[in-house]
Amino acid sequence: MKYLTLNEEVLLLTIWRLKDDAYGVSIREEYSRATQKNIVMGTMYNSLDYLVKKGYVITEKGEPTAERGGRSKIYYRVTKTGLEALKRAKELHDSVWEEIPGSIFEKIER
Amino acid sequence: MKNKKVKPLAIFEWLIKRTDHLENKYAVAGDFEEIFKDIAARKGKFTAHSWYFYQVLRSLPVFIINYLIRTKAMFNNYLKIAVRNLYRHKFYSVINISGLTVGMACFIFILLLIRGQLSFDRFHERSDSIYRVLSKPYGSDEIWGATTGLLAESLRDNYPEIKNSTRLGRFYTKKMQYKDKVFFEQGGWHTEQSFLDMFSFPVIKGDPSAALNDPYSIVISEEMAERFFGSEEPVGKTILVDNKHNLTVTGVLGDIPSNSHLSIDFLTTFELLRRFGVSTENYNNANYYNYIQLEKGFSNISESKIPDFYNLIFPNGNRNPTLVLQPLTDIHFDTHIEHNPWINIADRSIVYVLTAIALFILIIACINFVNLNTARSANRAREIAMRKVSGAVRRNLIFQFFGESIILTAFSSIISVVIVLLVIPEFREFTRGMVPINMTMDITSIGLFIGIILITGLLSGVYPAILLSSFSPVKTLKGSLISGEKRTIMRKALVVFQFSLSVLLVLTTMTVYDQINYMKNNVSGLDRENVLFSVIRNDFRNNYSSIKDDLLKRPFVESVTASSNLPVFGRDFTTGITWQGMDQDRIMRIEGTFIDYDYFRTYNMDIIKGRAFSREYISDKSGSVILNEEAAKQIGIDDIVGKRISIGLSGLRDVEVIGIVRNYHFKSLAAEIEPLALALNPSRMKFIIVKVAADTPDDNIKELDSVMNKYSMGVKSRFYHIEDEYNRLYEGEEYIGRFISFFTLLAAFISGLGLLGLASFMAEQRTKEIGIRKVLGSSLKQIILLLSKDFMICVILANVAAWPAGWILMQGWLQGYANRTELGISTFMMAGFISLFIAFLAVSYQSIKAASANPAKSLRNE
Repeated sequence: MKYLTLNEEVLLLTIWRLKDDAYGVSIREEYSRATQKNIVMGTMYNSLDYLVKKGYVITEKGEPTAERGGRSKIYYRVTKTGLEALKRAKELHDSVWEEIPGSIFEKIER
Repeated sequence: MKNKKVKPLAIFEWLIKRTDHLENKYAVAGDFEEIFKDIAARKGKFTAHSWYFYQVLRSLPVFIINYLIRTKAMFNNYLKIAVRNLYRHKFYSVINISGLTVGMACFIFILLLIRGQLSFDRFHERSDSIYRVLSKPYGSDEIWGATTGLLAESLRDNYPEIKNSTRLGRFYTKKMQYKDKVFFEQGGWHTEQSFLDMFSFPVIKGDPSAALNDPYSIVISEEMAERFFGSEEPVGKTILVDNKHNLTVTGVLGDIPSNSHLSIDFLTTFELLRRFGVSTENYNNANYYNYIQLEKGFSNISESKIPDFYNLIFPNGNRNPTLVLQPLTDIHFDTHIEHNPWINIADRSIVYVLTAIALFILIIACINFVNLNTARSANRAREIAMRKVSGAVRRNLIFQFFGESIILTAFSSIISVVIVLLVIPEFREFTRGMVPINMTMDITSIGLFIGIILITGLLSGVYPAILLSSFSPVKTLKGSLISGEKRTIMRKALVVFQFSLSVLLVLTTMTVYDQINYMKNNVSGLDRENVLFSVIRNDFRNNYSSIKDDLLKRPFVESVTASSNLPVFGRDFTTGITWQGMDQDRIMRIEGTFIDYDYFRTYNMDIIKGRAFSREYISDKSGSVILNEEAAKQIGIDDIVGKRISIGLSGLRDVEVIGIVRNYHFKSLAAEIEPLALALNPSRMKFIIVKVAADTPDDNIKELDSVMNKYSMGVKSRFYHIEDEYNRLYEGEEYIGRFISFFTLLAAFISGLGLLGLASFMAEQRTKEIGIRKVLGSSLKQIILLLSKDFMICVILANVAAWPAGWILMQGWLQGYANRTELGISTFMMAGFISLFIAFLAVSYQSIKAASANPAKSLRNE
């Protein structure tokens, strides 16, 4: 099985973190907060759809609301497969970062 | 605020809808709205709009990539289905593809030819500013290609707008020798260094900017270099000409592109021509080709100044000719002016004919495609119904079928390109090198080619696409097959059209061949059979009388004579003729040849008035002339025999007409017989002509060859048949004929192919019907007739349509010939018969196969 890209990993974790409230707008806010960058709408939705296609994420339709002009929201949820992928990602990070002291960063010039 | 939102959001929604990939389109749009409102509330409407705009902009790449991926996926699916379909119906696919491929290959070939014809002389760097100088004699509408030798220089002297000028004169074949090799080279010219400067002929050895400065220099072709010097370096070597002059090779010409109006074997200088004894520097000759190069932007002097040039030089002259400038690129199509064989001329109508043929063939191939596809539409009804039921919109299906036809067309065209590339060498042979050497690999051709594929695919695909996509799934799945009365008629109409084009082509081919045969067999006024000729070169010309005596010793030789030119090659001089009592304003021109005694006897020509030249009359040697009937008619004096006339050539300024000869054809039968004058002048004999007895065996003729060889100073001589030379006059027409017949064959083949496919399909459709008929007692013959009837009627209709059009076209073409064949009913009948025969072949095989099927088998699945 292939590894997650960093973007996919961040996105998945964002969705997971948002639990029941993971829809387009909230995902974007949380993602931007975590990465300190404003992701472009088109790119994000594209990546979300790709995650769905891969089976890591599943969509659920919400209730239509008046504010959104009568349109419903679509909520995203991480699937078991997605969790497995995240687990693999974490294991990879851990094994690679294992026993690397924090002091390696002292060499970075300020 | 809602109104202002609608517009920008609408764009995004539209974009999202385009990419079905995002299934949750509305949710996304809703998300957008949410954020938009939020920003608008916090930071104002303007910020919100700019945020929106920015997002859309940056999302574009994603959308585009998604769209392309989706399209490619769809395309792959259609490709797979198209190929699967092709494979499943191999028979029809092969017919379709081969028809289309042959059609496209023909189209490409013809396109190459057309391009070749239109591109004559354009390879010269300065082709836009080079003109040939022509002259129009006073009082005549004729235009002469050959002009005086002084024009080039004096034009340049008098008009500063002329940047450069040059002249060409024929190099009359002389003996050329290097060490022990002797040659008589033909395609030579006298010219000047300016020629190499003005034109861009490739000089691969030597210095093109100085190669002709020395009067005794010669520039030779690569082929000639190889013949003379083998692998030795040609530059610097010396060639002995006419046993007198030593010429130094100063350059070698590379391959001249075949789309050049000039054929050049070697170039020498005008100074050399003067050393040969020809006086070139006067205004009395008209044997040279003059070219000028005009400074850019000064082409208007061709109207304003050039025509009056002679008036400038001879202000007191009262019969000055006018000069006309002819653009270099127009020369190739100029059939009105007489040219010598070393200048490449073709009739412009060839381009039109070629275009027509190309279009015909392509149309025929496309019709095949359309017919076959629509015919088989019934088989695909299920597939279409399923697609529609699964959500395909009509637009999708149209796209699919267009795609299929374009794929098929592209596939055919790739094969046809491969075929073209493979066959190009043979094709060049077939068209005698009229295809230019540098072809295909430029952007315009590739673009044109792709355009043609697309257009063919689109055109052929339109009708089937629209038709197939309109099938109603309900009707199809219910089982009621499309009977399609309308469609059958459409199909038949297309077949009629297709065959009428083919019939037109057949008519054209037959008429061309008829005309050629007519011209070959209707030469009148002289005998061509058993008349042989050989060339008397100038180095043994003084042996002529000995040769004549020697030849006459043979019992099978009936008569020997000589002339300065052969009837077939036209004439030796063209000049004016005047006589006492001639209308002052009238100009009459006459052509002439110098002959020997016994001329009329050898050719068996009739002297209808007066007498032939005779040794009994000493005055014949310098004071007599014989005219042909046409000349006498044009002069208009009753009983001109015995009267004196004046011909504008030294030696003939005051001669007596001693006889009139019956008109004989001394040129192609395409032209009317023109006035001709014949005079005695043994010193100018170039051809010896011998009449032998009928059925003289070849061995005896070889004997004549050896007689010639005895006198010809070591150069091999032989005798040729005059008849062959006459037939060579029609090489141009024969070339057209061969060409048209080849493509007609192909067109007929393609049409037949289409009919084959259709017939087999129809037969297939009617297997049940045939089975039932057989059971009920129909004979094999009746069934075959039934199946073939429809198609035969189509072909008959095609003929009915094509005959009037063909008649008009062919009559029009034949008008261009002074002597023409009759358009007989037999030609049309032949064409009809051929077309019916082809159709019958195509249809009968299928009909027989279908008619002999076992009814038990065909009715089994009822």
